[in-house]
Amino acid sequence: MATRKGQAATSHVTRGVRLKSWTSHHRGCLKDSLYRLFRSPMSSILTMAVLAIALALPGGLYILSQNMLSLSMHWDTDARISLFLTHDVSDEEGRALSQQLAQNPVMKHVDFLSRADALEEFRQMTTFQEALEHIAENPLPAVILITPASSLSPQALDRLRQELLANPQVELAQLDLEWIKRLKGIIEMIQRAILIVAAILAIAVILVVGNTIRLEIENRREEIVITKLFGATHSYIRRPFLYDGFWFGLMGGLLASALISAALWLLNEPVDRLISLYESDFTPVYPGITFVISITLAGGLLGYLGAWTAVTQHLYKIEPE
Amino acid sequence: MLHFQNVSKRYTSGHEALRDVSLHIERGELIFLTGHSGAGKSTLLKLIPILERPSSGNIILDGANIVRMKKHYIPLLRRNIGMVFQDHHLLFDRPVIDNVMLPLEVSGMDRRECRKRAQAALDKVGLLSKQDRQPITLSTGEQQRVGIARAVVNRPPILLADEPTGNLDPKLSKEIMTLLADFNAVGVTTIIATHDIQLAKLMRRRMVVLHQGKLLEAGIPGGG
Repeated sequence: MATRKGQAATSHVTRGVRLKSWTSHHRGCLKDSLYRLFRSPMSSILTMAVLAIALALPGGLYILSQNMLSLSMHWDTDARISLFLTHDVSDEEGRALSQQLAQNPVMKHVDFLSRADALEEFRQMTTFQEALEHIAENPLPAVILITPASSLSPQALDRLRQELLANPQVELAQLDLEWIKRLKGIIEMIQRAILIVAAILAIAVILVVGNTIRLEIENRREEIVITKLFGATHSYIRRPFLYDGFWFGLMGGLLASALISAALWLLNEPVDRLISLYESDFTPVYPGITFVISITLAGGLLGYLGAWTAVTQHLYKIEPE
Repeated sequence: MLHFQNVSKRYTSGHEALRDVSLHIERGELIFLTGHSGAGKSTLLKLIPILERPSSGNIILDGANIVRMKKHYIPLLRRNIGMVFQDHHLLFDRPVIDNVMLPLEVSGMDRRECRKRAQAALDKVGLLSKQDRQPITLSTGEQQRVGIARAVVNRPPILLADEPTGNLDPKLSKEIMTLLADFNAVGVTTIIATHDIQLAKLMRRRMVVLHQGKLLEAGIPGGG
Protein backbone atom coordinates (compact mmCIF):
# COMPACT_ATOMS: atom_id res chain seq x y z
CA MET A 1 0.00 0.00 0.00
CA ALA A 2 2.75 2.34 0.99
CA THR A 3 4.69 1.56 -2.15
CA ARG A 4 1.67 2.06 -4.31
CA LYS A 5 1.08 5.43 -2.70
CA GLY A 6 4.72 6.26 -3.22
CA GLN A 7 4.55 5.27 -6.87
CA ALA A 8 1.46 7.36 -7.40
CA ALA A 9 3.19 10.34 -5.85
CA THR A 10 6.25 9.89 -8.05
CA SER A 11 4.26 9.50 -11.22
CA HIS A 12 2.32 12.60 -10.27
CA VAL A 13 5.52 14.58 -9.83
CA THR A 14 7.01 13.32 -13.08
CA ARG A 15 3.83 14.21 -14.89
CA GLY A 16 4.08 17.76 -13.54
CA VAL A 17 7.75 17.97 -14.50
CA ARG A 18 6.99 16.48 -17.88
CA LEU A 19 4.26 19.02 -18.50
CA LYS A 20 6.61 21.81 -17.51
CA SER A 21 9.37 20.57 -19.81
CA TRP A 22 6.81 20.07 -22.57
CA THR A 23 5.57 23.64 -22.31
CA SER A 24 9.12 24.94 -22.10
CA HIS A 25 10.07 23.01 -25.24
CA HIS A 26 7.05 24.46 -27.01
CA ARG A 27 8.07 27.95 -25.92
CA GLY A 28 11.63 27.30 -27.09
CA CYS A 29 10.46 25.96 -30.46
CA LEU A 30 8.15 28.91 -30.97
CA LYS A 31 10.96 31.36 -30.27
CA ASP A 32 13.62 29.49 -32.27
CA SER A 33 11.24 29.10 -35.17
CA LEU A 34 10.54 32.85 -35.29
CA TYR A 35 14.25 33.50 -35.00
CA ARG A 36 14.92 31.20 -37.98
CA LEU A 37 12.34 33.09 -40.05
CA PHE A 38 14.16 36.36 -39.46
CA ARG A 39 17.62 34.84 -39.85
CA SER A 40 17.04 34.26 -43.56
CA PRO A 41 14.56 37.07 -44.23
CA MET A 42 14.78 37.04 -48.01
CA SER A 43 13.79 33.40 -48.54
CA SER A 44 11.22 33.64 -45.73
CA ILE A 45 9.62 36.67 -47.33
CA LEU A 46 9.56 34.98 -50.73
CA THR A 47 7.83 31.92 -49.30
CA MET A 48 5.36 34.08 -47.42
CA ALA A 49 4.66 36.14 -50.53
CA VAL A 50 3.79 33.00 -52.49
CA LEU A 51 1.53 31.87 -49.66
CA ALA A 52 -0.02 35.34 -49.44
CA ILE A 53 -0.89 35.34 -53.14
CA ALA A 54 -2.37 31.85 -52.90
CA LEU A 55 -4.48 32.93 -49.92
CA ALA A 56 -5.36 36.40 -51.24
CA LEU A 57 -6.94 35.08 -54.43
CA PRO A 58 -9.81 33.14 -52.83
CA GLY A 59 -9.98 35.74 -50.05
CA GLY A 60 -10.36 38.59 -52.53
CA LEU A 61 -12.92 36.67 -54.59
CA TYR A 62 -14.86 36.02 -51.42
CA ILE A 63 -14.99 39.75 -50.63
CA LEU A 64 -16.09 40.37 -54.22
CA SER A 65 -18.91 37.84 -53.93
CA GLN A 66 -19.99 39.36 -50.62
CA ASN A 67 -20.23 42.69 -52.39
CA MET A 68 -22.31 41.20 -55.19
CA LEU A 69 -24.58 39.63 -52.60
CA SER A 70 -24.92 42.91 -50.76
CA LEU A 71 -25.62 44.68 -54.03
CA SER A 72 -28.31 42.15 -54.95
CA MET A 73 -29.94 42.62 -51.54
CA HIS A 74 -29.89 46.28 -52.31
CA TRP A 75 -31.70 45.66 -55.56
CA ASP A 76 -34.30 43.59 -53.76
CA THR A 77 -35.83 46.86 -52.59
CA ASP A 78 -36.70 47.57 -56.17
CA ALA A 79 -38.88 44.50 -56.30
CA ARG A 80 -42.33 45.47 -57.50
CA ILE A 81 -45.74 43.93 -57.45
CA SER A 82 -48.11 44.93 -60.21
CA LEU A 83 -51.81 44.33 -59.48
CA PHE A 84 -53.89 44.23 -62.63
CA LEU A 85 -57.50 44.93 -61.67
CA THR A 86 -60.53 43.34 -63.30
CA HIS A 87 -62.36 45.37 -65.93
CA ASP A 88 -65.48 45.86 -63.82
CA VAL A 89 -63.57 47.81 -61.16
CA SER A 90 -64.24 51.52 -61.52
CA ASP A 91 -61.53 54.16 -61.10
CA GLU A 92 -63.00 55.19 -57.73
CA GLU A 93 -63.00 51.63 -56.43
CA GLY A 94 -59.48 51.14 -57.72
CA ARG A 95 -58.27 54.33 -56.08
CA ALA A 96 -59.99 53.31 -52.81
CA LEU A 97 -58.28 49.90 -52.90
CA SER A 98 -54.95 51.58 -53.56
CA GLN A 99 -55.44 53.92 -50.57
CA GLN A 100 -56.46 50.97 -48.41
CA LEU A 101 -53.32 49.08 -49.41
CA ALA A 102 -51.15 52.10 -48.65
CA GLN A 103 -52.27 51.86 -45.00
CA ASN A 104 -50.36 48.58 -44.71
CA PRO A 105 -46.86 49.29 -43.30
CA VAL A 106 -45.43 46.51 -45.50
CA MET A 107 -46.09 48.74 -48.52
CA LYS A 108 -43.46 51.34 -49.00
CA HIS A 109 -45.07 52.92 -51.96
CA VAL A 110 -48.46 52.41 -53.67
CA ASP A 111 -49.39 54.02 -57.00
CA PHE A 112 -52.70 53.84 -58.76
CA LEU A 113 -52.77 53.88 -62.54
CA SER A 114 -56.31 54.21 -63.98
CA ARG A 115 -57.22 52.58 -67.29
CA ALA A 116 -56.98 55.97 -69.02
CA ASP A 117 -53.58 56.63 -67.41
CA ALA A 118 -52.39 53.22 -68.50
CA LEU A 119 -53.49 53.88 -72.06
CA GLU A 120 -51.75 57.25 -72.03
CA GLU A 121 -48.56 55.69 -70.75
CA PHE A 122 -48.77 52.92 -73.30
CA ARG A 123 -49.28 55.46 -76.02
CA GLN A 124 -46.16 57.36 -75.02
CA MET A 125 -44.05 54.27 -74.72
CA THR A 126 -44.89 52.52 -77.95
CA THR A 127 -45.17 53.18 -81.62
CA PHE A 128 -48.58 51.56 -81.79
CA GLN A 129 -50.38 54.89 -81.64
CA GLU A 130 -52.09 54.34 -84.98
CA ALA A 131 -53.13 50.86 -84.09
CA LEU A 132 -54.59 52.09 -80.83
CA GLU A 133 -56.75 54.58 -82.64
CA HIS A 134 -58.48 51.73 -84.43
CA ILE A 135 -59.47 50.07 -81.22
CA ALA A 136 -62.77 51.34 -79.93
CA GLU A 137 -62.46 50.41 -76.33
CA ASN A 138 -59.46 50.85 -74.00
CA PRO A 139 -58.15 47.27 -73.68
CA LEU A 140 -55.87 48.03 -70.75
CA PRO A 141 -56.74 47.24 -67.15
CA ALA A 142 -56.19 49.60 -64.23
CA VAL A 143 -53.00 48.84 -62.35
CA ILE A 144 -51.87 49.32 -58.77
CA LEU A 145 -48.07 49.48 -58.60
CA ILE A 146 -46.74 48.42 -55.23
CA THR A 147 -43.19 48.84 -53.97
CA PRO A 148 -42.93 46.63 -50.88
CA ALA A 149 -40.66 47.37 -47.92
CA SER A 150 -37.03 46.51 -48.66
CA SER A 151 -36.80 44.19 -45.64
CA LEU A 152 -38.97 41.53 -47.29
CA SER A 153 -37.31 38.34 -48.43
CA PRO A 154 -38.19 36.82 -51.82
CA GLN A 155 -40.34 34.26 -49.99
CA ALA A 156 -42.21 36.98 -48.08
CA LEU A 157 -42.73 38.88 -51.31
CA ASP A 158 -44.23 35.82 -52.92
CA ARG A 159 -46.56 35.36 -49.93
CA LEU A 160 -47.64 38.98 -50.20
CA ARG A 161 -48.40 38.50 -53.86
CA GLN A 162 -50.62 35.50 -53.05
CA GLU A 163 -52.52 37.53 -50.44
CA LEU A 164 -53.12 40.35 -52.87
CA LEU A 165 -54.30 37.94 -55.53
CA ALA A 166 -56.96 36.64 -53.13
CA ASN A 167 -58.79 39.96 -53.52
CA PRO A 168 -61.62 39.44 -56.09
CA GLN A 169 -60.94 42.85 -57.59
CA VAL A 170 -57.49 41.73 -58.59
CA GLU A 171 -57.24 39.73 -61.76
CA LEU A 172 -53.50 39.25 -61.86
CA ALA A 173 -50.66 39.96 -59.42
CA GLN A 174 -47.22 39.96 -60.95
CA LEU A 175 -44.08 39.90 -58.88
CA ASP A 176 -41.08 41.19 -60.72
CA LEU A 177 -38.59 38.82 -59.12
CA GLU A 178 -37.26 36.51 -61.79
CA TRP A 179 -34.21 38.52 -62.56
CA ILE A 180 -33.29 38.71 -58.87
CA LYS A 181 -33.56 34.93 -58.68
CA ARG A 182 -31.29 34.66 -61.69
CA LEU A 183 -28.76 37.02 -60.15
CA LYS A 184 -28.83 34.98 -56.93
CA GLY A 185 -28.25 31.88 -59.03
CA ILE A 186 -25.23 33.48 -60.66
CA ILE A 187 -23.85 34.55 -57.29
CA GLU A 188 -24.33 31.04 -55.92
CA MET A 189 -22.44 29.66 -58.87
CA ILE A 190 -19.64 32.17 -58.35
CA GLN A 191 -19.47 31.29 -54.66
CA ARG A 192 -19.21 27.62 -55.54
CA ALA A 193 -16.42 28.45 -57.98
CA ILE A 194 -14.65 30.40 -55.25
CA LEU A 195 -14.87 27.37 -52.97
CA ILE A 196 -13.28 25.21 -55.66
CA VAL A 197 -10.52 27.79 -56.27
CA ALA A 198 -9.99 28.06 -52.51
CA ALA A 199 -9.66 24.28 -52.19
CA ILE A 200 -7.13 24.11 -55.02
CA LEU A 201 -5.11 26.99 -53.61
CA ALA A 202 -5.27 25.50 -50.11
CA ILE A 203 -3.56 22.44 -51.55
CA ALA A 204 -1.03 24.79 -53.17
CA VAL A 205 -0.32 26.37 -49.77
CA ILE A 206 0.18 22.93 -48.23
CA LEU A 207 2.57 21.96 -51.03
CA VAL A 208 4.56 25.20 -50.86
CA VAL A 209 4.97 24.99 -47.09
CA GLY A 210 5.71 21.28 -47.38
CA ASN A 211 8.49 21.97 -49.86
CA THR A 212 9.97 24.77 -47.73
CA ILE A 213 9.94 22.53 -44.68
CA ARG A 214 11.48 19.69 -46.66
CA LEU A 215 14.41 21.97 -47.56
CA GLU A 216 14.67 23.05 -43.92
CA ILE A 217 14.77 19.39 -42.85
CA GLU A 218 17.60 18.79 -45.34
CA ASN A 219 19.47 21.84 -44.00
CA ARG A 220 19.19 20.55 -40.47
CA ARG A 221 19.89 16.92 -41.25
CA GLU A 222 22.94 16.78 -38.99
CA GLU A 223 21.13 18.31 -36.07
CA ILE A 224 18.32 15.79 -36.50
CA VAL A 225 20.80 12.91 -36.61
CA ILE A 226 22.54 14.08 -33.44
CA THR A 227 19.34 14.70 -31.49
CA LYS A 228 18.19 11.22 -32.50
CA LEU A 229 21.51 9.78 -31.29
CA PHE A 230 20.90 11.35 -27.91
CA GLY A 231 17.40 10.02 -27.55
CA ALA A 232 15.11 12.63 -29.04
CA THR A 233 11.61 11.33 -29.71
CA HIS A 234 9.93 11.85 -33.06
CA SER A 235 7.51 14.37 -31.63
CA TYR A 236 10.42 16.36 -30.17
CA ILE A 237 12.15 16.51 -33.55
CA ARG A 238 8.93 17.21 -35.40
CA ARG A 239 7.83 20.11 -33.20
CA PRO A 240 10.11 22.92 -34.46
CA PHE A 241 9.21 22.15 -38.08
CA LEU A 242 5.51 22.24 -37.29
CA TYR A 243 6.03 25.65 -35.72
CA ASP A 244 7.94 26.79 -38.81
CA GLY A 245 5.04 25.76 -41.02
CA PHE A 246 2.53 27.41 -38.74
CA TRP A 247 4.44 30.71 -38.75
CA PHE A 248 4.89 30.65 -42.52
CA GLY A 249 1.16 30.14 -43.01
CA LEU A 250 0.19 32.70 -40.39
CA MET A 251 2.43 35.39 -41.85
CA GLY A 252 1.26 34.46 -45.34
CA GLY A 253 -2.33 34.94 -44.16
CA LEU A 254 -1.56 38.34 -42.66
CA LEU A 255 0.19 39.37 -45.84
CA ALA A 256 -2.82 38.14 -47.86
CA SER A 257 -5.10 40.39 -45.78
CA ALA A 258 -2.80 43.29 -46.53
CA LEU A 259 -2.82 42.45 -50.25
CA ILE A 260 -6.62 42.33 -50.36
CA SER A 261 -6.90 45.61 -48.45
CA ALA A 262 -4.44 47.23 -50.84
CA ALA A 263 -6.39 45.94 -53.85
CA LEU A 264 -9.66 47.25 -52.42
CA TRP A 265 -8.06 50.58 -51.65
CA LEU A 266 -7.00 50.83 -55.29
CA LEU A 267 -10.55 49.95 -56.39
CA ASN A 268 -12.15 52.34 -53.93
CA GLU A 269 -12.19 55.50 -56.04
CA PRO A 270 -13.58 54.08 -59.31
CA VAL A 271 -16.18 52.09 -57.35
CA ASP A 272 -17.30 55.22 -55.52
CA ARG A 273 -17.60 57.05 -58.81
CA LEU A 274 -19.64 54.23 -60.30
CA ILE A 275 -21.95 54.17 -57.29
CA SER A 276 -22.51 57.92 -57.51
CA LEU A 277 -23.28 57.58 -61.24
CA TYR A 278 -26.04 55.11 -60.37
CA GLU A 279 -27.23 57.47 -57.62
CA SER A 280 -27.21 54.44 -55.37
CA ASP A 281 -26.68 54.50 -51.62
CA PHE A 282 -24.91 51.13 -51.81
CA THR A 283 -21.93 50.87 -49.49
CA PRO A 284 -19.26 48.31 -50.44
CA VAL A 285 -18.39 45.47 -48.05
CA TYR A 286 -14.82 45.72 -46.77
CA PRO A 287 -12.90 42.92 -45.04
CA GLY A 288 -13.48 43.25 -41.31
CA ILE A 289 -11.35 42.07 -38.42
CA THR A 290 -13.15 38.68 -38.49
CA PHE A 291 -12.11 38.23 -42.10
CA VAL A 292 -8.49 39.14 -41.34
CA ILE A 293 -8.40 36.77 -38.37
CA SER A 294 -10.06 33.99 -40.40
CA ILE A 295 -7.69 34.20 -43.35
CA THR A 296 -4.67 34.48 -41.02
CA LEU A 297 -5.71 31.45 -38.99
CA ALA A 298 -6.59 29.54 -42.15
CA GLY A 299 -3.06 30.31 -43.36
CA GLY A 300 -1.60 29.11 -40.06
CA LEU A 301 -3.60 25.89 -40.17
CA LEU A 302 -2.67 25.15 -43.78
CA GLY A 303 0.98 25.90 -42.99
CA TYR A 304 0.84 23.47 -40.08
CA LEU A 305 -0.68 20.81 -42.34
CA GLY A 306 2.00 21.43 -44.97
CA ALA A 307 4.75 21.06 -42.40
CA TRP A 308 3.08 17.94 -41.04
CA THR A 309 3.02 16.26 -44.45
CA ALA A 310 6.68 17.16 -45.09
CA VAL A 311 7.73 15.92 -41.67
CA THR A 312 5.87 12.61 -41.91
CA GLN A 313 7.40 12.05 -45.34
CA HIS A 314 11.01 13.02 -44.72
CA LEU A 315 11.88 13.17 -41.03
CA TYR A 316 11.54 9.45 -40.37
CA LYS A 317 13.88 8.63 -43.23
CA ILE A 318 16.73 10.42 -41.47
CA GLU A 319 18.36 7.92 -39.16
CA PRO A 320 21.80 8.07 -37.56
CA GLU A 321 24.31 5.61 -38.98
CA MET B 1 25.20 -5.82 -17.30
CA LEU B 2 25.67 -6.20 -21.06
CA HIS B 3 25.54 -9.60 -22.69
CA PHE B 4 26.13 -10.37 -26.36
CA GLN B 5 24.92 -13.89 -27.13
CA ASN B 6 25.93 -15.40 -30.50
CA VAL B 7 25.46 -12.11 -32.24
CA SER B 8 25.87 -11.96 -36.03
CA LYS B 9 25.36 -9.10 -38.37
CA ARG B 10 25.11 -9.52 -42.10
CA TYR B 11 24.41 -6.46 -44.22
CA THR B 12 22.08 -6.64 -47.19
CA SER B 13 25.16 -6.27 -49.38
CA GLY B 14 26.20 -9.70 -48.11
CA HIS B 15 29.08 -8.37 -46.03
CA GLU B 16 29.33 -10.22 -42.72
CA ALA B 17 30.36 -7.62 -40.14
CA LEU B 18 29.98 -9.81 -37.05
CA ARG B 19 30.11 -13.59 -36.80
CA ASP B 20 28.72 -15.35 -33.76
CA VAL B 21 30.09 -12.89 -31.21
CA SER B 22 29.53 -13.65 -27.54
CA LEU B 23 30.76 -11.18 -24.96
CA HIS B 24 29.87 -10.35 -21.40
CA ILE B 25 30.60 -6.93 -19.98
CA GLU B 26 30.32 -6.34 -16.23
CA ARG B 27 28.75 -3.32 -14.64
CA GLY B 28 31.33 -0.57 -14.11
CA GLU B 29 33.84 -2.25 -16.41
CA LEU B 30 36.08 -0.46 -18.93
CA ILE B 31 36.71 -2.61 -21.96
CA PHE B 32 38.73 -1.97 -25.11
CA LEU B 33 37.44 -3.27 -28.39
CA THR B 34 40.35 -3.44 -30.81
CA GLY B 35 41.11 -4.73 -34.26
CA HIS B 36 41.81 -3.43 -37.73
CA SER B 37 39.43 -1.08 -39.39
CA GLY B 38 36.58 -3.07 -40.85
CA ALA B 39 36.93 -5.76 -38.21
CA GLY B 40 33.44 -5.01 -36.88
CA LYS B 41 34.23 -2.80 -33.87
CA SER B 42 31.88 0.00 -34.94
CA THR B 43 29.16 -2.45 -35.88
CA LEU B 44 29.33 -4.04 -32.44
CA LEU B 45 29.02 -0.63 -30.75
CA LYS B 46 26.14 0.39 -33.00
CA LEU B 47 24.09 -2.58 -31.85
CA ILE B 48 23.90 -1.23 -28.29
CA PRO B 49 21.94 2.01 -28.95
CA ILE B 50 20.10 0.14 -31.77
CA LEU B 51 21.67 2.17 -34.56
CA GLU B 52 21.83 -1.24 -36.19
CA ARG B 53 19.98 -4.44 -35.40
CA PRO B 54 21.77 -7.81 -35.40
CA SER B 55 20.84 -10.44 -37.97
CA SER B 56 20.79 -13.07 -35.24
CA GLY B 57 21.64 -13.51 -31.57
CA ASN B 58 20.57 -11.70 -28.43
CA ILE B 59 21.81 -8.59 -26.67
CA ILE B 60 20.79 -8.47 -23.03
CA LEU B 61 21.11 -5.05 -21.42
CA ASP B 62 20.24 -4.85 -17.74
CA GLY B 63 18.26 -8.09 -18.04
CA ALA B 64 16.26 -6.98 -21.07
CA ASN B 65 16.76 -8.27 -24.59
CA ILE B 66 17.07 -5.15 -26.73
CA VAL B 67 17.19 -6.99 -30.03
CA ARG B 68 13.45 -6.88 -30.49
CA MET B 69 12.92 -3.57 -28.71
CA LYS B 70 10.06 -1.58 -30.23
CA LYS B 71 11.06 1.55 -32.17
CA HIS B 72 9.00 3.64 -29.79
CA TYR B 73 11.33 2.84 -26.86
CA ILE B 74 14.62 3.47 -28.67
CA PRO B 75 14.85 7.17 -27.67
CA LEU B 76 14.47 6.21 -24.01
CA LEU B 77 17.19 3.55 -24.39
CA ARG B 78 19.55 6.08 -26.01
CA ARG B 79 19.11 8.51 -23.11
CA ASN B 80 20.90 5.93 -20.98
CA ILE B 81 23.84 5.59 -23.34
CA GLY B 82 26.54 8.21 -23.77
CA MET B 83 28.24 8.24 -27.16
CA VAL B 84 31.60 9.65 -28.27
CA PHE B 85 32.47 9.60 -31.97
CA GLN B 86 35.70 9.86 -33.91
CA ASP B 87 34.56 12.98 -35.75
CA HIS B 88 32.88 14.19 -32.55
CA HIS B 89 29.63 15.20 -34.36
CA LEU B 90 29.42 18.66 -32.82
CA LEU B 91 26.93 21.16 -34.22
CA PHE B 92 28.85 24.15 -35.52
CA ASP B 93 25.84 26.45 -35.58
CA ARG B 94 25.76 26.89 -31.81
CA PRO B 95 28.19 27.51 -28.98
CA VAL B 96 29.95 24.79 -26.99
CA ILE B 97 27.54 24.97 -24.04
CA ASP B 98 24.49 24.44 -26.27
CA ASN B 99 26.14 21.37 -27.78
CA VAL B 100 26.69 19.89 -24.34
CA MET B 101 23.13 20.74 -23.23
CA LEU B 102 21.58 18.89 -26.16
CA PRO B 103 21.09 15.43 -24.55
CA LEU B 104 19.48 17.07 -21.51
CA GLU B 105 17.16 19.24 -23.57
CA VAL B 106 16.14 16.22 -25.60
CA SER B 107 15.08 14.47 -22.40
CA GLY B 108 12.92 17.44 -21.54
CA MET B 109 14.89 19.03 -18.74
CA ASP B 110 14.38 22.62 -17.71
CA ARG B 111 16.80 24.87 -19.63
CA ARG B 112 18.35 26.47 -16.58
CA GLU B 113 18.99 23.07 -15.02
CA CYS B 114 20.42 21.90 -18.38
CA ARG B 115 22.82 24.81 -18.42
CA LYS B 116 24.01 24.13 -14.87
CA ARG B 117 24.67 20.46 -15.56
CA ALA B 118 26.32 21.21 -18.90
CA GLN B 119 28.66 23.63 -17.12
CA ALA B 120 29.50 20.93 -14.57
CA ALA B 121 30.27 18.48 -17.41
CA LEU B 122 32.42 21.05 -19.21
CA ASP B 123 34.25 21.72 -15.95
CA LYS B 124 35.07 18.00 -15.69
CA VAL B 125 36.72 18.02 -19.12
CA GLY B 126 38.48 21.32 -18.31
CA LEU B 127 36.64 23.48 -20.83
CA LEU B 128 34.32 25.54 -18.65
CA SER B 129 36.13 28.73 -19.64
CA LYS B 130 35.32 28.03 -23.31
CA GLN B 131 31.61 27.36 -22.89
CA ASP B 132 30.52 30.31 -25.03
CA ARG B 133 33.01 29.70 -27.83
CA GLN B 134 31.95 28.33 -31.19
CA PRO B 135 33.17 24.71 -31.60
CA ILE B 136 34.96 25.61 -34.84
CA THR B 137 37.34 27.87 -32.87
CA LEU B 138 38.51 24.98 -30.65
CA SER B 139 41.38 22.60 -31.34
CA THR B 140 40.62 19.01 -32.38
CA GLY B 141 41.49 17.74 -28.90
CA GLU B 142 39.21 20.31 -27.30
CA GLN B 143 36.40 19.45 -29.69
CA GLN B 144 36.73 15.81 -28.69
CA ARG B 145 36.57 16.80 -25.00
CA VAL B 146 33.37 18.76 -25.71
CA GLY B 147 32.04 15.59 -27.32
CA ILE B 148 32.91 13.66 -24.15
CA ALA B 149 31.26 16.29 -21.94
CA ARG B 150 28.12 15.95 -24.07
CA ALA B 151 28.26 12.13 -23.79
CA VAL B 152 28.41 12.16 -19.99
CA VAL B 153 26.25 15.21 -19.23
CA ASN B 154 23.15 13.17 -18.42
CA ARG B 155 25.20 10.69 -16.35
CA PRO B 156 24.44 7.62 -18.44
CA PRO B 157 25.23 4.19 -16.98
CA ILE B 158 26.95 3.23 -20.26
CA LEU B 159 29.51 5.20 -22.25
CA LEU B 160 30.43 4.14 -25.80
CA ALA B 161 33.44 5.61 -27.58
CA ASP B 162 34.09 4.79 -31.24
CA GLU B 163 37.70 5.63 -32.18
CA PRO B 164 37.72 8.63 -29.83
CA THR B 165 41.42 9.26 -30.53
CA GLY B 166 41.29 8.61 -34.25
CA ASN B 167 42.28 12.12 -35.23
CA LEU B 168 44.58 12.97 -32.32
CA ASP B 169 48.32 12.83 -31.75
CA PRO B 170 49.65 10.31 -29.14
CA LYS B 171 49.85 12.84 -26.30
CA LEU B 172 46.28 14.05 -26.80
CA SER B 173 45.14 10.48 -27.31
CA LYS B 174 46.51 9.52 -23.93
CA GLU B 175 44.73 12.50 -22.37
CA ILE B 176 41.39 11.51 -23.89
CA MET B 177 41.79 7.88 -22.77
CA THR B 178 42.61 9.02 -19.24
CA LEU B 179 39.56 11.28 -19.25
CA LEU B 180 37.34 8.36 -20.31
CA ALA B 181 38.95 6.18 -17.62
CA ASP B 182 38.13 8.90 -15.07
CA PHE B 183 34.44 8.64 -15.91
CA ASN B 184 34.72 4.86 -15.69
CA ALA B 185 36.21 5.28 -12.21
CA VAL B 186 32.95 6.81 -10.97
CA GLY B 187 31.02 3.73 -12.12
CA VAL B 188 30.18 4.29 -15.78
CA THR B 189 30.43 1.09 -17.81
CA THR B 190 32.72 2.14 -20.66
CA ILE B 191 33.31 0.49 -24.03
CA ILE B 192 36.04 1.98 -26.20
CA ALA B 193 36.58 0.86 -29.77
CA THR B 194 40.08 1.71 -31.02
CA HIS B 195 42.49 0.44 -33.62
CA ASP B 196 45.35 1.80 -31.47
CA ILE B 197 46.30 -1.45 -29.75
CA GLN B 198 49.47 0.04 -28.21
CA LEU B 199 47.48 2.76 -26.45
CA ALA B 200 44.85 0.26 -25.31
CA LYS B 201 47.56 -1.98 -23.88
CA LEU B 202 49.01 0.99 -22.06
CA MET B 203 45.73 1.50 -20.19
CA ARG B 204 46.01 -2.04 -18.69
CA ARG B 205 42.32 -2.89 -18.96
CA ARG B 206 40.41 -5.79 -20.41
CA MET B 207 40.83 -5.92 -24.16
CA VAL B 208 39.01 -7.92 -26.81
CA VAL B 209 40.14 -8.18 -30.40
CA LEU B 210 37.86 -8.48 -33.37
CA HIS B 211 39.17 -9.94 -36.59
CA GLN B 212 36.95 -10.13 -39.65
CA GLY B 213 33.87 -10.06 -37.46
CA LYS B 214 35.04 -12.78 -35.07
CA LEU B 215 36.05 -12.28 -31.45
CA LEU B 216 39.64 -13.54 -31.17
CA GLU B 217 40.91 -13.11 -27.68
CA ALA B 218 39.89 -11.70 -24.37
CA GLY B 219 42.19 -10.78 -21.55
CA ILE B 220 43.89 -8.10 -19.59
CA PRO B 221 47.30 -7.29 -21.04
CA GLY B 222 50.10 -7.56 -18.56
CA GLY B 223 48.07 -9.76 -16.21
CA GLY B 224 45.86 -8.48 -13.40
